[in-house]
Amino acid sequence: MNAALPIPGLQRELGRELRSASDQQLSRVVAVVDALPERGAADALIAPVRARLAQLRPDRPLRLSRVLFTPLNAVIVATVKWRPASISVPRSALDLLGKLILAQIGTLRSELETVASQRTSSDATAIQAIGDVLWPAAGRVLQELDMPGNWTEQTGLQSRVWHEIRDGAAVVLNRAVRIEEITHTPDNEELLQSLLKDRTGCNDAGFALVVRVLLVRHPRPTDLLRTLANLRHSGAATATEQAISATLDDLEPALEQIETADPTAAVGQAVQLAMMFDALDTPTRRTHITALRADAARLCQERLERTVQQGLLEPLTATSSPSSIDFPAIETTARGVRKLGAAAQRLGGQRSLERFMQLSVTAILALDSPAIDPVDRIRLLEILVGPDAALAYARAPSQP
Amino acid sequence: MIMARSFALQSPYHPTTFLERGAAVPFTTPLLAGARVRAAQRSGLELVLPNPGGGKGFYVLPWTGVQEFCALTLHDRQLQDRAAGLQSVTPSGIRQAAREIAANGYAGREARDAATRAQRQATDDQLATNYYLLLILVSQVEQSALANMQERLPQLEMRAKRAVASIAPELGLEPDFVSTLLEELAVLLQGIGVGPIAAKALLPRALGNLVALRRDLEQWTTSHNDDTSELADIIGVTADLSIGCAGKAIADVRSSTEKMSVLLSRWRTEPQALSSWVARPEWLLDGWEPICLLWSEASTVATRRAALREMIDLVPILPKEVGDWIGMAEQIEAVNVYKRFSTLNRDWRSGLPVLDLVEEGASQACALDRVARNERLRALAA
Repeated sequence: MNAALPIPGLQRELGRELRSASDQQLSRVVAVVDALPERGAADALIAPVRARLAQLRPDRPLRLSRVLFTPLNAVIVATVKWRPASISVPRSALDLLGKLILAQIGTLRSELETVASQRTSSDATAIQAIGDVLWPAAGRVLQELDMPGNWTEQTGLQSRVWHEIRDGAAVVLNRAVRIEEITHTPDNEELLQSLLKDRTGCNDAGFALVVRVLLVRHPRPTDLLRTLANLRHSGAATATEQAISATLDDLEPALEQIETADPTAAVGQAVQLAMMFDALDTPTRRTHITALRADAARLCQERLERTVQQGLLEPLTATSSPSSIDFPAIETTARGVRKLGAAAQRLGGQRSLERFMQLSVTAILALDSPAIDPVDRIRLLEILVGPDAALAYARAPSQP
Repeated sequence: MIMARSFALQSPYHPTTFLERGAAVPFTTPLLAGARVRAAQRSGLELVLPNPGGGKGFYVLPWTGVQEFCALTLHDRQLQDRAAGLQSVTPSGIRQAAREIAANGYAGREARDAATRAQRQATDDQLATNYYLLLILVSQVEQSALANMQERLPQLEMRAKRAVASIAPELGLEPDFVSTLLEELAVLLQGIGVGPIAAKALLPRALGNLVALRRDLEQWTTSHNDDTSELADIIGVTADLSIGCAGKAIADVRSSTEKMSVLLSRWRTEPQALSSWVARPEWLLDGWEPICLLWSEASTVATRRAALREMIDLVPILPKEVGDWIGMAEQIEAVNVYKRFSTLNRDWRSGLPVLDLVEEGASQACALDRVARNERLRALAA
């Protein structure tokens, strides 16, 4: 493996230092690593603090290698957890595959690198715009790649799994732009059907990988499963079942995201899980789903509590000056609270939801009048409890 | 279901006049995308709404009954009330009402700031239009070129007074009344724009945005070989016709200032007819702004494809009246038929089924995002 420092003791020592570093120090270290032309060993250095980085989410320069495998995010697993035919992609394969692909896309690489160099990792639109061009090109290159001689040395994976990983990743990359479109237009069944019926270069394992990606990203998983059930091609039912099992067996990262990701991502994940559990809740899976629901509901409620407190109540009560309140940001948080509440409700956390909504409404109504414009106030109530309830609160002579 | 009780589905729908088609209303409630308001046959107003299922036909419902159809945002309730008080339904009247509501903050702070800026801009445009109408009048009376009119204000004022005094007897009016007529004409023509800053006026800018959209759609059609290429083509065909008609209508109205005495006389004697004629460009462009904004807001392939699917159901139907306006009745009919048949059975309009919006908890998430997106569009609107 090239991802190791020449002196193991030094690596351990640096790892310890990093683990005890403050958030600010850690962000600075990551910035230095990001600026290196060759990351190799430095990447290994920050490996032990990846979980903290995921929580910290420092804004990093956008790199093509980061954009390249974004469509596979939902199915990437740690190599130690990866098993053949597990409808997933081992993380250690990505670095090598990325280098091989980027080396073969010709001038496109420098063109896209120029675009990426002006953007950061939090710029979702830039990632998608670059991906529109990069993903199809990468898919074409990847599906024709021969196994490199240093495959096992670089990835720690056996040569017999090369085809499974290469083909699966290529299938998803070749369909990435359409998958993105489907997530934006979930009611377009025609588009979904055409994607699922397209078996070009796609064996059953690749198909299962596509289904798994869709399952964790499609805003209406029930519609997805219905469309899958109506597919006539052989192997579709088995692949779907495999994708569902793989998804349910590997929900730890998704649950962790509710807890640690930035509010927008956490809310998105909670809503997605709620919808997915609804779609997958069949008698045969009920016990498993019920347990997962309970876990997710608990995390949602904890996150809801934190978001209401830190994102709504604290900023609103911290000042009496209307100009110092960032209302667009607070409204975004309020939307997140409402969505998280809806997800929690769907997952079974009804009581907490009502309590937090009531807390938020009470706090907003109790704010001193100079601190908040009446229209801002009623808009916040509208976002949290809907227009009718907002009007009722606003017209009520006394606070609830 | 409420819809069955209160609303009549009318299909096929091909209005004869723009008044029958109604003016586009920038509601933020997702289910009301593409809604228009028009005067009802007897009294009051009606809402004309594209079939929420995306299929053929339109719903027509009493303006006061909109809240039975779906839960309106607070912004939309305010807008509904304000529109109900309008004496006549025109695109500019609805735009003004929407700006006032947005300026009060009901579509959020960004839209509030944008509406406040737009209101200030409208006042400036009106003053500038009045100024250039006066300059045009002076140039016509003195038979001098407009370009030579750059001089100090007191001298210009004197010449303007002389020009007004000179033309007043021809119109059979007192000079003061001519000045008043010019101010009224400035209100009427500010959206069209006159003089050297004409291109910056509201409607020429809207036309420019539509031309840019048309260009982009053409490029999309040639570079994408899928169903969205067909959608882009359909939108483009209608856009082409609107561009041609609106461009001609704007040019016609502007050319009316070439004889200011005739324009002033006509404004004095037949204000209603002149108002209707000057309003043609805004009717022709009405409804295109949200379409252009949806497109410009989408910057990636996936979001542009999604935008095209949303745009196709918002494309304004051109009433038969346009054929009389510009003498292209057959072409108008062909475009509308093309559009009607091409959009048949498309079941996606807002991306949000009715039930999800009003009943289901987790799907409120989508509705919230869509309202936020619509509010963002309000902030970008003119």
